[in-house]
Amino acid sequence: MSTLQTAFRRRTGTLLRVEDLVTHFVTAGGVVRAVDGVTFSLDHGKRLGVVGESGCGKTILARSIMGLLPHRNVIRQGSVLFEGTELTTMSLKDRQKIWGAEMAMIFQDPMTSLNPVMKIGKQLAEPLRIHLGSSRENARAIVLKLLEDVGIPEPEKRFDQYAHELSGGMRQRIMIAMALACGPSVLFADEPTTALDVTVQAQILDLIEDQCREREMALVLVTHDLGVVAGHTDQIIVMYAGKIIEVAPTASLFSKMKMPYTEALFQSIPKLEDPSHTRLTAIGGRPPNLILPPEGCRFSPRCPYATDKCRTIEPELQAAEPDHLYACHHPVGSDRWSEVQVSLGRRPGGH
Amino acid sequence: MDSSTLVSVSDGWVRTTTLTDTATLDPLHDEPTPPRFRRRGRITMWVSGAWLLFIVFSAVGASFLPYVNHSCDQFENEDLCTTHVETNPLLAERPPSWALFSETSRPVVGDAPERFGLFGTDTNGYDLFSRTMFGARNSLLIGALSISFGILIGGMLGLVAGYMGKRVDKIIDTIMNILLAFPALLLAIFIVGFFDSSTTTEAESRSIVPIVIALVILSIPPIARLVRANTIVFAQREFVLAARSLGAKNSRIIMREILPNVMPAMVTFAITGMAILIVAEGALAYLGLSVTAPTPTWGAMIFGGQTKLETAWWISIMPSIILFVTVLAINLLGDALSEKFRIREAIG
Repeated sequence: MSTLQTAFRRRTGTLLRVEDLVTHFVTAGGVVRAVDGVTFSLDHGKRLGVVGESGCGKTILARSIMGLLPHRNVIRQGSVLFEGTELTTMSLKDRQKIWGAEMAMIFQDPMTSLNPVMKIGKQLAEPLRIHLGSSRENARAIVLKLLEDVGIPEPEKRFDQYAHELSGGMRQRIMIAMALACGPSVLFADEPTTALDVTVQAQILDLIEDQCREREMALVLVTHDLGVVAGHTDQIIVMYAGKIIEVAPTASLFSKMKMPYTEALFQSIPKLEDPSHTRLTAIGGRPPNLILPPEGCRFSPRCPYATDKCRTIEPELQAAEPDHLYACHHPVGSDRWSEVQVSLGRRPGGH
Repeated sequence: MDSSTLVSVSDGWVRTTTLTDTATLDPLHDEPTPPRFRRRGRITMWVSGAWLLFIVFSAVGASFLPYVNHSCDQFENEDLCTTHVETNPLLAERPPSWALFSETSRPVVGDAPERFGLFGTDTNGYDLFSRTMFGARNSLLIGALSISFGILIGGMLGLVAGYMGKRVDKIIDTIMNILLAFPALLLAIFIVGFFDSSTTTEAESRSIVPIVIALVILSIPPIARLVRANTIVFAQREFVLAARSLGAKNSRIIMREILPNVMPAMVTFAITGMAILIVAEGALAYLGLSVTAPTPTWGAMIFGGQTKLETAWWISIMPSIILFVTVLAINLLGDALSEKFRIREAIG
């Protein structure tokens, strides 16, 4: 897409539409259903959180959408519409034009996602040189501006440094700058703060949020941490075993959550008002085996509210409100839920 | 020397120990002795470097250097000679001038010297030192050319195989396995022989081209293997995925992301590999399959002197020593450089 088109491109409406996306890996042990029929859409400039435990398919979902996964031994179905263009059938060459320019990704570990033998400045200039064909001098000016934008002090000095000379937080800022370089319209952030310590986490999340707002860029924030998505997203998708089990605007997810799984995730966050030495509530059991997912509701083996119905019939996504979907037979607030709450000695209705 | 007393209490008994060695007393405040190996390593590096510099300098400038005694008949290009030493049968097989323990096997007639030159003379009466230096030119050239082409071709194959994987990898790997399955020397003999029959006759001098080709083919599989293994490691690293997610094409990823990371391993291997190839050339020459007289190489000179080992040991031994020291220097320098080239990884 030329710069002119970019300048005039539509900044409202649907940016990304994912429909019934399936990504299965064929392995020696069987077919791993990493992403199993995911449907959602993302508007221009909106921030979407994807939440779930480790191994529930969040990362694979993000990579499937971008089309970054290897072709070998992968079963894929469904469609990804990016500004009306189908990505799944696009040739690699065309996708390479979109990567970095229209959709960019930042990764979990800034320690390993920078090339150890390339100077920071040169690395940052890569996307500019690939997509915009910038000259060296031109790229340098843009890179220095980018470094300043992501809050790196002394950009001139950093330009000629190597990755090992920077701290983890700095490196993640560099990654963000790299992803932002060509002004993409959507940024995939795959656990961007997991490898950083807590004080830096907040800075990085704020930086991502600021840049999204400034550049009218949509964000897909993949994380296992409900606390991270709470303050930095407009909408949240909760994934479990490769499926979406709850979708809601951020505020209503936290106030009116429907899924027992979301509730369990929420309860496993330590709360400030808890007295000290309160035991953390953990979700019992292990994440499901994605080769042989449990029958019926995939969360049923670990769900305190599960009934025989849950173990045989897989619940469909249903709407609690027009923009709040969930997939559960006994959602939070149902009779069965209250009954179990009482039997557990909890006061139903309150979290 | 200070002596101090340590008091220790155990089992209700007070024991005193007198120590005379103060050095062991205060480990916290003693200056730590710097590790010795570092200094030694640096000296090794400098000595090897100096030796190689000398050899390369002599090889390149053999035609001009005053310390090389130019006896013109032994070289094809007579214009390069500055000092003319007649091929004199009286000079043949004279031991080195310092080898006082060595009996001259040939009688001293008239004004013929009993001993001659730093390295002595060979059967034809040529000065061995100058021949060794001219030989350095050929040996080093063959080694350097072979390893350069080997790195170029082997490196490329390794990068492509390691990065592309799948069928490409399988095909390249199979070819490399086949090449590796041959005994190396046999393969080299076969290749040189193959070029021989079509281009050269017995009497003519063999050019270095077939030898270089043989050595290049010998060096490709191990280089390709090494580079492939390194490439696979780096291709799975996140920065490659990051570059891909920014729209970099495969060629760009290979050249700009992976190659610079594989480079140190390649350079280190190239240096060691060159040493191996110089020796391999020597082995080929020993079998009479390298460049033939009048062009000297170290291997050919060692080969030339082997029948005279009992009477004129220096003809084989002197070039052998130079070959040995040079190969050792290359290896030591290679080790030292591989330490220096180690890539600094980002550590949390």
